[in-house]
Amino acid sequence: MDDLTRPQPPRAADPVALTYAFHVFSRETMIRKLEGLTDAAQRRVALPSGATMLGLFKHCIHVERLWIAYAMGGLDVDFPWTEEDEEADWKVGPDETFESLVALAREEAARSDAVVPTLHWDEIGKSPRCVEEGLTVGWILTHLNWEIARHLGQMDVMRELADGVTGE
Amino acid sequence: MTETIIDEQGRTEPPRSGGPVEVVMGFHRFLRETLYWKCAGLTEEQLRWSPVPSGTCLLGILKHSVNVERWWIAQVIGGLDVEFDWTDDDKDADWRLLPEDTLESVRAAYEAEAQRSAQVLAGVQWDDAPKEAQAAAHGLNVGWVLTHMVEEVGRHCGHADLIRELIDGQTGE
Repeated sequence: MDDLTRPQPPRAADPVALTYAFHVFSRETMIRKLEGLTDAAQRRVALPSGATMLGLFKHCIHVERLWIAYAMGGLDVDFPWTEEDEEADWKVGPDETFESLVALAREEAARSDAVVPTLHWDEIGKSPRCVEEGLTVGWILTHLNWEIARHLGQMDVMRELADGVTGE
Repeated sequence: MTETIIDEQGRTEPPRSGGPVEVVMGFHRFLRETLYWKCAGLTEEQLRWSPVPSGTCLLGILKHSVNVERWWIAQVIGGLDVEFDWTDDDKDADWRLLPEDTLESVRAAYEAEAQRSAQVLAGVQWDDAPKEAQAAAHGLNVGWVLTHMVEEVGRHCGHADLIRELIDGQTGE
């Protein structure tokens, strides 16, 4: 896992750009955590909660969409979850593969790349929840940073359980 | 936004607005308290149990995280002369548990570290250079150090999540 091809966060930057850069680092590391496994291993249920590596990856793509495109960008975007199935973003259909989810993550990344430079640390997010609770861009980006890092940590353990591979 | 909200797991919610150092440290506290929650209600044996070949266990994550905070805040930002659990001969010694390490003793060390961090960070700004010469020479600012630390501890919370789930099925963010 030690490679230098991941985009490294800049050493000094304004808080919006820097926090997003750390998110990007986690997103790219997660993709590498899934590489080199068979499709079956990526879909294997390894935990009592029923989580799979591919399902966790799919969830993270939609977490990014929720916080960046929807909550801060104010964009009209769709999500897999519904009132009947609030965890649909964890479920991977037979037509979805690692490759198709990487493509989805790349689309989301491009949208995030366009939204983030328009943001200021102190401004309130645009979604109804952000307005109601007074959640600022600084709060949202820092939340996203740890949430995706935390899911990456879960992925670390799932990968180690799958084939013993570890690494930052 | 000075109102303090404590959630069901006993964690202080991070401030919803504020300067970047304040917001990031609010999240760091939330993650530290998340690790306490993940360690709560278990036996000493469970706290030392590992499901993986690398031997990672809940109490080891907590002990390592104390050293992580000491490194980034006390040593790098504050330029203080502090001691760590790792050594030149054993760079992973901060992950290893001594017979006398308990949840109470490691938590006490973590709380003491948090107090020292608050003193170091008083009056420190995002764009300030760290006091440690090497980090300053690399061009890192305080913001990079703190944001990296939240990413690192957040990732360790993810490790703790799965180990806890494999111990007794408890999940939750």
